[in-house]
Amino acid sequence: MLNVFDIQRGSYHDGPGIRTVVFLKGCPLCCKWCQNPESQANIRELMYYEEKCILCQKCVFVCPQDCYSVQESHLIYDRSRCIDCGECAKGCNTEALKISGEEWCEETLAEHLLGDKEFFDISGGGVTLSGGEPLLQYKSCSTLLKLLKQNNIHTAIETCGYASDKAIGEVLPYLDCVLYDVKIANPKKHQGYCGQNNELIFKNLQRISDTDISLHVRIPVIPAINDDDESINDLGEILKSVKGISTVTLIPYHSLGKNKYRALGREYECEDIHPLPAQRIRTLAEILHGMGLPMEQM
Amino acid sequence: MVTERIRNVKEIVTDLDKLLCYVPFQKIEYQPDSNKTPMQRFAAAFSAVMRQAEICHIPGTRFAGCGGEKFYARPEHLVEAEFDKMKNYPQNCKEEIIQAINEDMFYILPYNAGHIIECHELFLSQGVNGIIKMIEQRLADTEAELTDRQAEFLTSAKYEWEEVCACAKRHAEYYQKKAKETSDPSEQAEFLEIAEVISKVPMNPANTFREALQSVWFVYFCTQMDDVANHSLGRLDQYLYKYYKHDIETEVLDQEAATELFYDFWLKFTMGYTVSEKMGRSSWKGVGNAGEDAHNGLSWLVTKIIDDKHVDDGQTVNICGLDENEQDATNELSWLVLSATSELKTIEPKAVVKYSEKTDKKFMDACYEHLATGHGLPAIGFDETGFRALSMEPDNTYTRKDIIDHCHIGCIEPAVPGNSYVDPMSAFVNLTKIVVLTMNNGYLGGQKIGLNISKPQTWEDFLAAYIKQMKHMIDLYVEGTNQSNPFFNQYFFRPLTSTLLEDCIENALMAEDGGTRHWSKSINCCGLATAANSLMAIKQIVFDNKEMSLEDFNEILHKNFEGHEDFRQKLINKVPKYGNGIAEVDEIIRTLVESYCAHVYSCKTHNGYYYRPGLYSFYATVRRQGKATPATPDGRKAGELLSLNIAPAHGTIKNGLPAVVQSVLSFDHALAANACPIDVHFSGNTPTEVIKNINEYIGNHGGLLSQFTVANKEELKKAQEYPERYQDLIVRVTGFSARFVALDKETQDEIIKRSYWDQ
Repeated sequence: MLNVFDIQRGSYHDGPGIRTVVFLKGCPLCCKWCQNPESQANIRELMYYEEKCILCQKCVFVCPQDCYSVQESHLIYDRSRCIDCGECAKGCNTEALKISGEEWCEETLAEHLLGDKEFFDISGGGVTLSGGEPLLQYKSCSTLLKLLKQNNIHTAIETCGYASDKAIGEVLPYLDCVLYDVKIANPKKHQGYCGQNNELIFKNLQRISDTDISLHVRIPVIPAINDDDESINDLGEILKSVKGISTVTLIPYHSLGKNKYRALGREYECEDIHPLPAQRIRTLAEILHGMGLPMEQM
Repeated sequence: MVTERIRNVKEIVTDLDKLLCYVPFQKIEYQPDSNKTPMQRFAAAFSAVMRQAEICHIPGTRFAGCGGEKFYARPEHLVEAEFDKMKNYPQNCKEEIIQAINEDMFYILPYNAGHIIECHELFLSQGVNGIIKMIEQRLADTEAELTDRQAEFLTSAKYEWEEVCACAKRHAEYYQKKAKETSDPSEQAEFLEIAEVISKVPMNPANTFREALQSVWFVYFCTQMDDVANHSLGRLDQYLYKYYKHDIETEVLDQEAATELFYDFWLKFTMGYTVSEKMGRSSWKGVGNAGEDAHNGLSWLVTKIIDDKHVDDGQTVNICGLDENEQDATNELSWLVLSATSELKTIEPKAVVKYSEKTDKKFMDACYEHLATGHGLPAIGFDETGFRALSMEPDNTYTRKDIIDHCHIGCIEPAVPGNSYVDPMSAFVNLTKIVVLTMNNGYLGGQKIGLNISKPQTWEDFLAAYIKQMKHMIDLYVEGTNQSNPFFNQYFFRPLTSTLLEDCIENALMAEDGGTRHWSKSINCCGLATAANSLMAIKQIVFDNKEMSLEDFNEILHKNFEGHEDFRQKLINKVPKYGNGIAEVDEIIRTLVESYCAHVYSCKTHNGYYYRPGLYSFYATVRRQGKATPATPDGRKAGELLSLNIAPAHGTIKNGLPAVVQSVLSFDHALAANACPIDVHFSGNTPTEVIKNINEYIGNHGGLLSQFTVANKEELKKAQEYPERYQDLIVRVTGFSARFVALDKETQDEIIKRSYWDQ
């Protein structure tokens, strides 16, 4: 079974052609700037978008845990009591309450994805597994990817690279393309902002680059974290030593996921960070280009 | 490449203040003579324009004749008593029809101007002198006796053509005089050249590329005074090619000079746009009787005919397509049209590629690349579906050559150039409001407008009732318009324009009177997706889930959902919507389309020809008819927008690109020969390859025409806030593109609310 939090059809920014992206729940990192906070925990979670609530109060009556109450024309939701059963979300017409995380069996999901095969075929597209970190669910991913390959579907994975040897070994045979995120070169700094050491990440990058899978490196550029010349330069130095990278892309920071933090009852730590001007991204791309890296424009 | 000369011309024609320095607004003196017949007065008004129009020169141009703000004959030729007759027009009209118009169930445009493609080959090969000779011969033909109206038509047309020649002569004299006045020898030579060309054409057949361009432009300029706007240019790259090729081969012109001439010609069509952007389009209140009492016959007429000044738009140019051997016809001129569009970034004329699998792949790649920039041009017409659509028309008179040559009129409406009258924009039926009508068993506002049908017990009953009401509305429209057409034809004419349509001279009949070889009228619709979504909601809530009776549902709609917001949210979020690849709702839309198209085809015009169905709305219609439509079962509140063309309703695309493509192609587009545009909306940063993939998919799956918008919503909102920074931002509106900041706020908002296909 795969724990999925979203399926986006018709994406064209996550691998070649027109693709369906499957977003899987659970991530070993916890990057401060993450714009998919619901992707981090590998469990079902209730999301409450307060701004959509029209106080119909159906949830108050249906909730078996008595999580909901109304105070001063506001719906109060007590997350500590919630068991994420989703009964409230079923009846919520405004979609203010939504369950994130849905179990899909590999065969059913593969069949569902095959529905867009003709669009994959005309465009050289396919399926991309993203997340979260798909490799946390590597066994199921491997089963799914195998099924897709049996149907001649182009496959890609978007990974942070923090995964065991075994996990990587299981999926590699069924992949055509890897979108590989790297963030920070300095191990301590990486640990601080992402919650884990980056040694494993660069080791796995090397491993994948030794195969003939098409490898695309993506760097999220976060203001005040890795947008200085030095940080980018350091990453460039590491990437330079890895042969077999097809492209390197800089992904500018955005804050589109901000309200999802609120919906999860979590604090958004990047409140003060504002998107970078396009010119700065171009300058950083030029630095990497100057180091001989194959830059691609986002 | 854009030369300095062209850059200078462009600077003037795209800036109204500068343009007005060279082409001033002008009041033409004309008093209708009540002793003359309306048609004679019309011809006299035309003549006044031809004689008085100030001749202007824009520095750098090599072509005579200017567009811009002009007086046109209509309706100045009418006398007070005739206006009064029109005001009192609908005297014997059924009260039901008047009520239906007042409820905005449809518009009636009893005399719609423009919307033709002249036979350019005719005046290019025969010259105006040749046309006058043809008219004279027909007048002299005593065997086929003429009625008074026939004789009057031919006499008026001949008179108008003579006035065209006189006007051309005035232009020649003007340039001769300018040549005398200048001391600059190169300028002098240039003026003399212009004078020489305009003394020759359009009176005589064109021999060179330059003469052909001058002839097409000058005749265009004159026919606009006889008609209004919306004269399309047809297969320009085909009928001009022999002149181009000859001049290049004989070295009369080199590539560079030909390009400069063509760009100069191309920019002529921008003048009218520049004027209308400020004075026309933004204030154009749409069509029909907007809020006026339909008992006043004047309100039936297009505001364009009565109120507005000349608006140059709908100048569509078709390129590529197939040649007579049914092989790819893409040539150097097709490329010139594309490069003029992309290098000059003009909005008029609007190129439409006649595309098939045979079309030059390199050419298409260049088109996709340009579309990715967001310009919205060219539109892509799919030849194969177009062929099929025209072949499916009942009693059609098309030859295989006609079908292969078919072009696009106005914006997007397929028609054969040079020999057809299709009147593609005379009605818009409000498909959404018919859902409300059905729920209220034929009553609206306490008045009976529709049919009384026994209460539907099942979903099938309800759908059948909807279709009956829809057919009834179409029938009412047809009855109303069939009465009004002959009445209004007494007052409005286009003799000159008619003689540029094959068979009109021979039949001695104007286009409206049935002169052309091919004749049909059209019926279009608005709110297709909103109607289908509403029907889907009734199916699910009332019949499938039996959550609520039809009466209770109706009661909630009457209250405009007041006190029922949660239910409204359910309708919005929990009922399937068209545009998401969901078979159940796509099937409803297919049923609507099939019954609508079949019924329109079964209707007959006042003179016994057929109506052809169009599945297109108009950007102003979705607002206008939306304002007149109460709350609907899809969760839409009273007065909100209706859906546009065949597009999913605003904000309802949730399942991504493949799903919307599948939905949009879930019915046969060839059924709607009068137009079925697919508005593909991408959110910006869209790879050229994706545009290509989607366009080819649409082509291979029976699309009739696609038009691409590539625009970022956030950027559009910023442009509303800081218009000065976004002067060059171009968006696709419906069948045309426009500068975003020049559109009125309501249209801007509507565009922002549209659903993007890739989100």
